[in-house]
Amino acid sequence: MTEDILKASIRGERLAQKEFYNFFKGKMFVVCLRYAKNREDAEDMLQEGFIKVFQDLHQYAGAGSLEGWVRKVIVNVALQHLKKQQRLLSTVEFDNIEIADDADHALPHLDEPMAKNLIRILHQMPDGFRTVFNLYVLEGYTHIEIAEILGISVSTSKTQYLRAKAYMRKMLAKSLMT
Amino acid sequence: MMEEHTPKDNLDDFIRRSFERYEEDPSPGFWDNLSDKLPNQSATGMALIHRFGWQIAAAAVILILSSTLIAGYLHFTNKVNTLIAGQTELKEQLLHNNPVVSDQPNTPSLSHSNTPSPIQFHQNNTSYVKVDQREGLPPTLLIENQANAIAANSVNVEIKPDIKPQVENAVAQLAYLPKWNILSSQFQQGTIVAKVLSPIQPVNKPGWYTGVHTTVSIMSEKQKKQDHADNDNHHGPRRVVSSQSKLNQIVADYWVKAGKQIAPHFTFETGLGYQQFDRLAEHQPELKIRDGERVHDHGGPGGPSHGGHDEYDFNYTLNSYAGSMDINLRMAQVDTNAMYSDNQPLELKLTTKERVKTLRIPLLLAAHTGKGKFKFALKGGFIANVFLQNELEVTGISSGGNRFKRSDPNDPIAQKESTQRYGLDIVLAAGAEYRLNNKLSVLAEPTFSTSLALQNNNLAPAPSYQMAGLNVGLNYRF
Repeated sequence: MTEDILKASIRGERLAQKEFYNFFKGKMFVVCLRYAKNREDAEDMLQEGFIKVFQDLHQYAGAGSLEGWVRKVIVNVALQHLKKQQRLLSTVEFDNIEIADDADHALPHLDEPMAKNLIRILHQMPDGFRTVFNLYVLEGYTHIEIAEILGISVSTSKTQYLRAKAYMRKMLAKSLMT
Repeated sequence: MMEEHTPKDNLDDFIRRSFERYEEDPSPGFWDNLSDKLPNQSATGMALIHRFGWQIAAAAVILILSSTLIAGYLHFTNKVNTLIAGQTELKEQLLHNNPVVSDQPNTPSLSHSNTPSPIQFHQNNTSYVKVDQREGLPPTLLIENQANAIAANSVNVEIKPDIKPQVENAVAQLAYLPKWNILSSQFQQGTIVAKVLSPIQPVNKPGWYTGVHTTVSIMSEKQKKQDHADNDNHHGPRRVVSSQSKLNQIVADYWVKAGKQIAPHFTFETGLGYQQFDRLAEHQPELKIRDGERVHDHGGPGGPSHGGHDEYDFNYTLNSYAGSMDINLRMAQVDTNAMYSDNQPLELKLTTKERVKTLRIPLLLAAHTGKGKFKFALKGGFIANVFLQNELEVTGISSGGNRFKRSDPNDPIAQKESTQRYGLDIVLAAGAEYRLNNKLSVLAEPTFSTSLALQNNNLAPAPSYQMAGLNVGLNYRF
């Protein structure tokens, strides 16, 4: 990503914005896939995210990483997207979750990249689990920060993280047994 | 096969590594849909104005100021040339003993009590006034004495009260001229036969002056966008961080200045200045554990340590006010039993103090006008900065959450790398000067300046700063 493309993107030049988009689309779409329930939702998040990125790009202060800044915007948009759908209110008790037989399609396919398999498992998780898991494990937030971001208690964040982790482990273990 | 990648107690790390370089594209045609929803270029033009507002405003002010100065100069030059031509013609007429008498019916004239038409206008140029003379004295004498008086740089001479209203009325239409000398021939009492108004010479002598000035300013700073490298990628280039001064600094400049009047109403000013101040700033490197190099391994991320503190070295480049520094930090785990991840942010905040010493060279153009002892001036131009010193000291460091602390607080942190050599400011000032006598004058000028430096020596954007203050000083005219 060059300074020229960045400046031209801020000016709203479409060709530069396309370059900017092409540079980040792969990484950012994976971010959206991790937070979304399915691929369609992820594309909605990505679209909203890039609109927000181009809208606020002039506010990027340059003090940190541009990719970090873009990812932060995308994650915020993803969280707002989930909040709009009130999915984050869902705090299903893991004890009540059974891995259904029809969830077998979520099991890892050994001929595919592991990340793709993990996304498949994440899509099977309740939204609350998936969001906390993403924020804690992959964004590096603390439980205190997650509690502030999502408006939940710290203990809820910890519980959801542990249950999501257990779910993930269970799915991976099941794949080894089959 | 799966067991190799799924260590039972380090699932988080396994998942992180799985996603580290994984990318997946959205469906084809996604960009076309996105492009349709993006605002057009003109709408984002506001963002441009928002970002470059200072520069646009400064450029507009410079343009307006330059245009005004040039237009004023041309107008004045034209008027003076016209008047000089008229004066020459008048002199020739008088030297040929051809008294100037208004005989044109529409030529304005002034009456004087008991004497017919004591002030008459040149018949061909109403811009010139010649006071009537007593009968018997040739008008050429007046002209010669006027020339002598101008050469001797005569100052204003009071005219007789009884004809003052007429004279003032006569010259009122010439008010655009900067200053009038009302010259008197220096005859003995009783032999002064006339007073002549000369439009040629302004009172102010063109010449050199020098002075000592001090400017006290408040400096505020705005961080510019960094020339971006993908710093979040810990496998990528070295992290570059810019420090930001939150406080407005008080800055003092000490000047020795010299100036020269280059045209009526215009002066060029230059000199030498020295500036020294302490810049207090802070920066947040936004480091994560993965950005560091582990030097003492007692467990590492993802699990509690066993028998000691984990220690990491963090290195990054700090862009400062006038240069760049290498920062090297060794951070140690505070609680050896606490779990932390590779993605764990350190939440570091460092405060720094820089002692900046700068040699400054102003290049200013001043447009001035005034009456009597007061002169008002509008100045604009540039100040070239030569940075002599930029010493940085880290005065404080804090880590959010207190998970990590500096391994040894006595270790040196900042290692000076290089100091930027040059910078450029643009400056505007408007003020007043009061003449104490023919030689000395004092001045007070509110000033405003802003930096034009785009990049420092590390090819990162230099901080943009603005200074508003007051310049006071004493000038001596030769």
